[in-house]
Amino acid sequence: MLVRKISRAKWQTFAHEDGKPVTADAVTGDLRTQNNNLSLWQISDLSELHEAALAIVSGQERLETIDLAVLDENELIEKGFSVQETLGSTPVKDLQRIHRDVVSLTCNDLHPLAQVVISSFRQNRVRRITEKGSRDIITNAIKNERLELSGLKKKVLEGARKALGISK
Amino acid sequence: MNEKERSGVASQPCSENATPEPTPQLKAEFVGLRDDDLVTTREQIRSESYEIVVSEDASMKPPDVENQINNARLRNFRDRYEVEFLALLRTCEFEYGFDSLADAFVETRLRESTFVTMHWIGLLFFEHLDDPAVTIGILRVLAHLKYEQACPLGISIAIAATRLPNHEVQECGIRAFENWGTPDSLEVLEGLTFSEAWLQEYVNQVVEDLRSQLVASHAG
Repeated sequence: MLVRKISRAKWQTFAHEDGKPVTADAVTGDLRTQNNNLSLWQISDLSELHEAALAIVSGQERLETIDLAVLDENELIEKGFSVQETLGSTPVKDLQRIHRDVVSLTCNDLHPLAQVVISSFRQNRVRRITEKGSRDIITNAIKNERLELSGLKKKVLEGARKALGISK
Repeated sequence: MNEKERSGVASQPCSENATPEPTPQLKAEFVGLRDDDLVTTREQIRSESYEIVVSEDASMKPPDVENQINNARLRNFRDRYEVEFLALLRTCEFEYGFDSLADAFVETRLRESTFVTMHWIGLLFFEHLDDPAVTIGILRVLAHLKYEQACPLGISIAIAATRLPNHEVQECGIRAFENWGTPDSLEVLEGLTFSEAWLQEYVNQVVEDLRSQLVASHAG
């Protein structure tokens, strides 16, 4: 399974209704590519979602509620997408290896890609992690020595310090 | 007795960032301020070098001067920044967990004048209730301000957002209170109900989170 951060509200209105077109904002906002590649994080099953969440949240500038869509990797491959292992940008070193890119995307690929996201809604594989949930994920990783404070950006660091009772 | 006292006119600096010496020309402009004068006044405000002049002349009404200066400042902001800000709200990249160009833009305006910036943002929000790109953008910026910065107008805007028909706008209203995380925020969220199940689940979860956080911080 492959995890992608999305903005749930942009999909929610049409994700459960057949025939409603995917809005351009949902695609251009949440399926934004870099060098024609789409960044995702691989997990074995939903029980590992916190690992992808840690990889994502630890690289953010702020702790905020986020939505994670868990995409079916087989569905992507069946639709002809190519998934490659690439080193992820996260301060959690042992999670860099779970990063994946859906590569060589073109304009024609965006609609089928959006359909895979919609499948994740219909199969109840979209999860919301609140601001507190994100902070708990970060503090647990610090306690378990998987993440160093120095790897965090300023506002996330402030939140983590406060939660852990660490003075500057 | 100095020159000001002899002239029967006391002046006090108004600029938030500068306190220049008054000039007779500026005094004259503000003592006789009319709507038509605002164009002249705007030039003075642009350079942040004007003063409020309180006259002993009975025909002069200090509260009216204050209102006119505030209005002039607001018009100045709208003239200088509104096109750019609306374009930013409609086009800049917003991603949860990251700051946006709109955040940086508003931070800069707040350093110029907190009062005028918040008043202006409030006006923009209510003038664009039918434009979700603008209302959502404003809410995402407000959610990144400290509660003290956003209070009180930002709080009113976020409450209003939760009652608007667009679900994404409603969500952004909840998110703002979640980010602020104050006892007042919890109180507002506890009173909210939504017809959309996912929004109700969200607000329920945030209420639970804030309760546990506030209990923990109180105990600590």
